[in-house]
Amino acid sequence: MKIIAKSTILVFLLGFMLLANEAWPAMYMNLTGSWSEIVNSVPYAGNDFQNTYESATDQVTIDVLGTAGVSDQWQIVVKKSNVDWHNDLHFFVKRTSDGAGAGSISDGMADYVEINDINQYFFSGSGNRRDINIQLKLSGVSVRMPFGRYSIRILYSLFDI
Amino acid sequence: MRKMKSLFVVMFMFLALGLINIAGAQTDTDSHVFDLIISPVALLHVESSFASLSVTAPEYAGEDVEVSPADSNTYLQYTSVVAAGTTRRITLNPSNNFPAGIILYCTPLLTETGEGDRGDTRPTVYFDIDHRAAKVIIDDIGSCFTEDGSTDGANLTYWIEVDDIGNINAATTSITLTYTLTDDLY
Repeated sequence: MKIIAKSTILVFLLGFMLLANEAWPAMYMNLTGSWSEIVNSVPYAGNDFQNTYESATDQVTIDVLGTAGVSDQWQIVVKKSNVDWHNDLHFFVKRTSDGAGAGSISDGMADYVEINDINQYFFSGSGNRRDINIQLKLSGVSVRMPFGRYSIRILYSLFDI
Repeated sequence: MRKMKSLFVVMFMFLALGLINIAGAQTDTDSHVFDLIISPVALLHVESSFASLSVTAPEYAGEDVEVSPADSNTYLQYTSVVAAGTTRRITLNPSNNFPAGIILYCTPLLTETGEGDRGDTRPTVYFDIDHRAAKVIIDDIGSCFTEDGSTDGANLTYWIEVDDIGNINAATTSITLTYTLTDDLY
């Protein structure tokens, strides 16, 4: 009898936790855009490739949605995952707009943030924000690299803080 | 009673873990890919103020003819991007109107400008009326650039010798020297 009672309480508890998650939905992020660069020429024989390339200021757009309200704070961190990368290449991100929506947003606009293999703080805010524009930069391009395709995946993680 | 207490402790822990999960966890991750595509490049430029090489009369009658000093005013400048593990070479090929009795020499020397695998210069090559086939002057060129200033790249020194004065004719001959940056065959 006691075993049945205990089991009932346990099932109730698990059910409560699931319901709590449903009633308190997690914030989420929409990300649109990507970038590629084709490098195939130099101005004159004997020249190196242009070293640095910048994307459009709105190359990538991020929405942060599903927050609990204007005071629900969050932050975004960023890192890269090498697919087929070259050690001489460096990749950067910069926020170029505040986006729209209630709440606030700060950081990430003053300078480019260089992305490496561990999470770097990018910017933070509160409440729902739509259309936050992100600009990307690549440096280190040189003819010393063999021709071919070099790829990385840029991962943006949203934390509810 | 003691078992009930244990059960409440377990219930409290579950509840606390659930709240922690709700309050401060990573909630979402999204990503995009960046692709950099670097294409093969093979560009060669000749920077030259090459005047002429000549055979002139000696100071005194009866002496051998004189040849002009060597000319070192030619520079090859190149940009090369190759696949990993592959190389290129530069060949020199004179035109077919080569004058009889004359030997033309060329010595390549890489300057310090540029970066990357700029190749290795070959020893002096020569051409005469019977040896006009293209010859390699720089090989093992990988992905590199030489810079493009007036004295950057590979310096070429040209000079001539009289091989057989009996075959020389008084004339002005313009020889076209063709340089080709080409892939090595594997």
